[in-house]
Amino acid sequence: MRATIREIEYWLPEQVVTNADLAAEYPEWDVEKIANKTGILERHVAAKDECASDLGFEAAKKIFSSGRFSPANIDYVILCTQSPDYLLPTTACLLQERLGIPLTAGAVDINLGCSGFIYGLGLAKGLICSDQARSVLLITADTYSKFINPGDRSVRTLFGDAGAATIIAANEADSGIGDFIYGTDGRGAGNLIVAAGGLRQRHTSPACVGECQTRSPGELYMNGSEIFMFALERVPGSVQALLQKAGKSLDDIDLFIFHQANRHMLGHLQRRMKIPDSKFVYAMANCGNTVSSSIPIALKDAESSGQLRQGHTVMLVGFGVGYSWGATLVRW
Amino acid sequence: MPVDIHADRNNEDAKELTRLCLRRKRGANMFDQIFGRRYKMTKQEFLEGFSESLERPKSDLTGCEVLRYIPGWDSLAVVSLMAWVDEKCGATISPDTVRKATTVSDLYEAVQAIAASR
Repeated sequence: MRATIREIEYWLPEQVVTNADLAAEYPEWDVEKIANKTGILERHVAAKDECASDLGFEAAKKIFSSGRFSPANIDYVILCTQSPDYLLPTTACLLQERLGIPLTAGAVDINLGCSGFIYGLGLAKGLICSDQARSVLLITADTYSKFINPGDRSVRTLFGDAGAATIIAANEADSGIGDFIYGTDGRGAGNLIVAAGGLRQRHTSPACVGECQTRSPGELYMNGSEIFMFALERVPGSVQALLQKAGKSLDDIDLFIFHQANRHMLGHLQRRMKIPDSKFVYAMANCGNTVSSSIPIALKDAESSGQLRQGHTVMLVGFGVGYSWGATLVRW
Repeated sequence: MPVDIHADRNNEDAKELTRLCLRRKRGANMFDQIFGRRYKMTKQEFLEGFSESLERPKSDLTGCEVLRYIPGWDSLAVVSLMAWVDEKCGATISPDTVRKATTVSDLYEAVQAIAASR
């Protein structure tokens, strides 16, 4: 029994913040320089009453309303989010009800960021290959904008809200989701964090000033240079480790899809690993860094543009908040 | 006018020291070439890379500048410099090392130390 990605759709909230909008709001920001570095032209932002489950719902609805797959056939829902609608209940339970997924289905939330899609695929494959499920709906959805202080240049320019829905189904054919590698280093926890809002520090205090940015503990803090260092230290090694595990070389891979952190970081990693342009996907220009949805969005965009084709062997690499990372090979 | 009776002697010492330094440097370079050790970055090269990270012309930098007073020396420039150093030396300069540097020359020395330790 193999597990195969059958469907992917994504949903971006209506409201768009362009670089021109940011320049108008903060004339002191060098928005052009930021755009050159990040490769991001605009990001979508959830409305005040729009939460992760709403974005995930819209993405999944695109699949079900197309008639390509019925919600009645889903027997497990995995929602990957770091901005759930509630502390409890599990947001995946709300989605089961809203999407009309059978009462016999399992549903679970997992809390991961930029590596979340890889971990979701790993769990879905495990459920299918151990005969616990036949069709898993993996939803990745986040509204980081709700954690972002509008004046915090380091994260405001980078992150965008999005939801993506992926169906992973049992398949007897010789294609699908292959080997995985994972990694975790909790020493990096403080470098990408929303410190307040959980139970360790439930209530947030007013904004404090630090490193030229103004933010409160309930807002997203990112130490960009530490995250960059982490990516340089972990991503090339993860690619090599997965190639070794799968008994493949870099040339055997038709397409590389990395978490779409920002163009500068990805460009550097691509050059360092000597991956040709034709085999490397960039998909952040019109949505920004969408955390766990960035890889499914890139997969969908690459398929639509023809860069990703049937029969391709694709390497997916997720890395970020945690620190957490993972990579897998997919036969498309 | 007082005469420094050690002037000539000091001058000779300085010349000898320079000769010794040059000989050592040549020896070290030959050692590097023979054993395939990493090429050492010149200060000029570093200043060019540093300027590139700031997206400004290099001509106005000497190395003595205090980093926190340099316009454009921000988190984006730090990340750009990290990428440039990684590309040139195959070694990563850590954000902590960058934070500890006061002047541009401090950064250059830190990069030299990282490259040499590899």
